[in-house]
Amino acid sequence: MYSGIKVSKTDTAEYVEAPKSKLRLNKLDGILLVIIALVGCWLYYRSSIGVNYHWRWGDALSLVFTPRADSSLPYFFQGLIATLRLSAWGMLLAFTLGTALGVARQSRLKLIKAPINAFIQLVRNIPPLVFVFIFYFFISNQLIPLLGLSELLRGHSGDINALQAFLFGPAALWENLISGVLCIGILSSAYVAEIVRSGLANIAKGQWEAADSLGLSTWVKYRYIIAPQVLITITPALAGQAISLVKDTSIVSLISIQEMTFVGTEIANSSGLIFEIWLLVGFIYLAICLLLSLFFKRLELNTLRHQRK
Amino acid sequence: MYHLGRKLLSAKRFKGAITALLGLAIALPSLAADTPNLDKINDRGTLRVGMSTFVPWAMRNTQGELIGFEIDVAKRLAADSGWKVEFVPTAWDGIIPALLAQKFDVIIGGMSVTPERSKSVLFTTPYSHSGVQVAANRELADGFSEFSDFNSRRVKIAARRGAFTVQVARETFPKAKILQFDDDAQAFQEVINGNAHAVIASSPKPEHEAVKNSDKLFIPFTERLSKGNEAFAVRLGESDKQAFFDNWIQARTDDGWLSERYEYWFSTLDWQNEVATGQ
Repeated sequence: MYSGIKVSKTDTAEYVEAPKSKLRLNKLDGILLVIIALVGCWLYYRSSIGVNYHWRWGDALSLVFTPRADSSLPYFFQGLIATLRLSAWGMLLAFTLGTALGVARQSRLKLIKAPINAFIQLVRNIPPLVFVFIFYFFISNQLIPLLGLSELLRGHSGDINALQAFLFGPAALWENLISGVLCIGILSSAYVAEIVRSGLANIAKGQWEAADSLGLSTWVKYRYIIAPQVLITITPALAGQAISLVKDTSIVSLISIQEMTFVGTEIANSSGLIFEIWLLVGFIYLAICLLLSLFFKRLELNTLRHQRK
Repeated sequence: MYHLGRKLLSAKRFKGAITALLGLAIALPSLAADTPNLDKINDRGTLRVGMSTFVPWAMRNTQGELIGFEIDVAKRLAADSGWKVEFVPTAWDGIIPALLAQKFDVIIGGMSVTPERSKSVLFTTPYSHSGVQVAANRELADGFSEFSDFNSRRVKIAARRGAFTVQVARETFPKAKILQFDDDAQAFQEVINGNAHAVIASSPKPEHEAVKNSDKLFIPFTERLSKGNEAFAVRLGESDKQAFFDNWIQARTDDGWLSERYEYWFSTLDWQNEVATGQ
């Protein structure tokens, strides 16, 4: 579409630098900073007299980094990796299913549109936690045996190769992982579908008509006319959805998917180092989500390249 | 009826269906006498045990391995029966639904027998008898020594959500306000911080905590509140498994192994070096 417009490197550099301004503080900033510092001090003071808690960061950190008896990764890090795995597969499922649903919703056939609408409204209007419970105990329990997966997953005892172990983790937890991915992926797909729908609705009617009058096939129309424009408008919303998906993975700890929050609960309860472990868990979620939002910011700049002229 | 049947099925298939039904009816009584649920575990060779972290019933040591009273019990049960054991860590709130959804064969998780739970699961005979005890804040509950002292609208009592202790607290102190927390550690912290008068929990945790935080906590009563009966739980109708486990519990109670293990985990603190003990 935009291949005719060549963007030189210098143009891009200028655009990136332009909105940057020198960091200068005015009077209001100064006053606000002082107030924030005072509130911080007061909170620290309150927590030192109001909470009788012996902080033991050294113990907590050494506990988190203690390798397992068979000298494999520490238990805490196994949880972290499970969270990353869950997020990655969840995003893959949510984005593919969500896009498919969003596009299918454009269909003129009531028979296709109505059930998709019902699904999206149902999922979006139930609290995530309630959805996870209902989905896990009533649907996923029927779905997995129905697909013939339960025997495959539970009965699997043979060796797995390195690639399988990297992608899906230990075989004993495969069923656990799949339940989690299904919950998270289907939950998010409803939101992604809604984002895709709004993106499609945003495309000017003329673009559709122009594509049709050129006699382009449906695939070519979507691939080269519609999709590039939709992607630009929905990238920020998708970024938000990806980040909330990562945070939603903590909800599935309640159905015993053994990810970071679940592992954190177990370690905190066993060791009694509750606040330290929870702060660590919170910090790691923060780091993952910050990295993700940085990544999407880059992606967004990338998709906007053609507008910088 | 016959007309409908002929419409739906060809005569041949209909006959076949009738024969199959009759065959099933004859076979059923003999099936019931068997042990289908136990056979499933035997075929697999692995006992899947549902449990939840709960000091000192089951917990993670510093290396992340499971240890505790429950873990000892489940391992011994599997070893005696010639099975391997696989633990399925489960969030306490969802442990009964997970059992019903066949995520594991049995709950060995310090679960107390209650009439409500008996409606949804089948309990074995109890394998341990733990009590419930109260630890109170020295300042707020100063001078309290009777049940009636705590049975007041102004008193706040902390407990672990969904636990048997909440029911005991409601029965013993109907007027008091019960604050529920996701785990014991938070409930104790609330009392140490002076936000609740007392915490109710399974023995011997209140006694241990009162010793550790003797400047903040004390045990107001000389006797334990209630005797809980902990048992294994299996799905309703799995009486073959129940009978098998009952036999095992009886044998291990008779030879004193269960009470010896209980003594180790609940009356001594020898295991404390294995976990990073904080609270």
